[in-house]
Amino acid sequence: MVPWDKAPVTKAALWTSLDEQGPPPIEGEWHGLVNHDQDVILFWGGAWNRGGRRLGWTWIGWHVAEDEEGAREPNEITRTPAANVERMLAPLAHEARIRIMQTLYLGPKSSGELSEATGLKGGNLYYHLKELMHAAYVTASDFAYDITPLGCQMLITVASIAGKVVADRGEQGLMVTSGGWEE
Amino acid sequence: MLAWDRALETAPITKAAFGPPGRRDRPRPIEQEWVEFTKDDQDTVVYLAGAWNRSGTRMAWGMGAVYLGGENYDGGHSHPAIRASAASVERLLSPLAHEARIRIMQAMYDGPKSPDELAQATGLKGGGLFEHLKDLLDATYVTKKGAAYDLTPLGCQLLVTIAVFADLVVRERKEG
Repeated sequence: MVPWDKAPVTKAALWTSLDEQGPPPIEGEWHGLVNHDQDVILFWGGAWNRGGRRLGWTWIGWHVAEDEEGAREPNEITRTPAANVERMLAPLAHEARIRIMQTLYLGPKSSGELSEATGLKGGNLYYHLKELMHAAYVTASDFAYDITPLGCQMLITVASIAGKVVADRGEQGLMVTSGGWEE
Repeated sequence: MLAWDRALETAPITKAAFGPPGRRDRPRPIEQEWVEFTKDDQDTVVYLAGAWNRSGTRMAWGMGAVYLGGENYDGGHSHPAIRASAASVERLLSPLAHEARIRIMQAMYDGPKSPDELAQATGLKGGGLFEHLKDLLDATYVTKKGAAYDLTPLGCQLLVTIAVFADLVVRERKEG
């Protein structure tokens, strides 16, 4: 592992705009950090408020193999139980549930307001709400539903990525594309 | 200039903002300057950045997003989380939201694999394996190289991203 205090963190590591065609070159110091086989540096950090409340901090992933021996060791990518990935993503892999969470992102909503905003009705709406509450992405209190800090983090992450890599091809539908992501 | 362009100019990017790599702990408080930076209602700072190699090939750079409420703040409606179509999120995640497909992608992480090698690594057999491979091929997360299958750069990026966080999310869920 590269020691934490030797790792460079620069603004150049961030995209300057969501609408940019591709990521800008990262400064030379970053190249130096990932010159080993299977090195991985992954950041996901930040903080946000919503409705005047601080919702939470994000997380960080950091894996840099120091030598070839380290590169061959199982890392988080291959060691993470695949079942955990399914448990994290399955509740989110539905258009209706993303619409619900996007509506809640703007503030707590009653079931009537949610129904109006999403077009979902009765048992169908409650079924999706139940799945989202079971996953702790949504919470209910005092006749209103709200997004949890965890749900907010997941929504921001998956929606930001989807906005970059899913292309609308009109009548041919949507397609996942790597456009704008590859070097 | 867009809000996040302005934000990036003045945003503090510090090591403290990322925290030390004690990632088995809960997220740590970020330095005071970040607290100041997000003091407005519904301000958001989110970024995902980095770079990685795989089998000696540089795969890709990561992505970042900075969004902050400012003079043009519209109550959050222009936030990327709201602007993305819900259908596109389903399209992105559906191929990944299966334990077996993640096992397949994990098996390819250290290099291309033949169907036999994939069957051995994942425990999947015959039609089941090929059905999952077809869905991953359709999603462009996996590609076929001769008789072997390999991750695409996009598939590798998504695997790295979700695998790192899945443990944390599942743990956080239990605590909540």
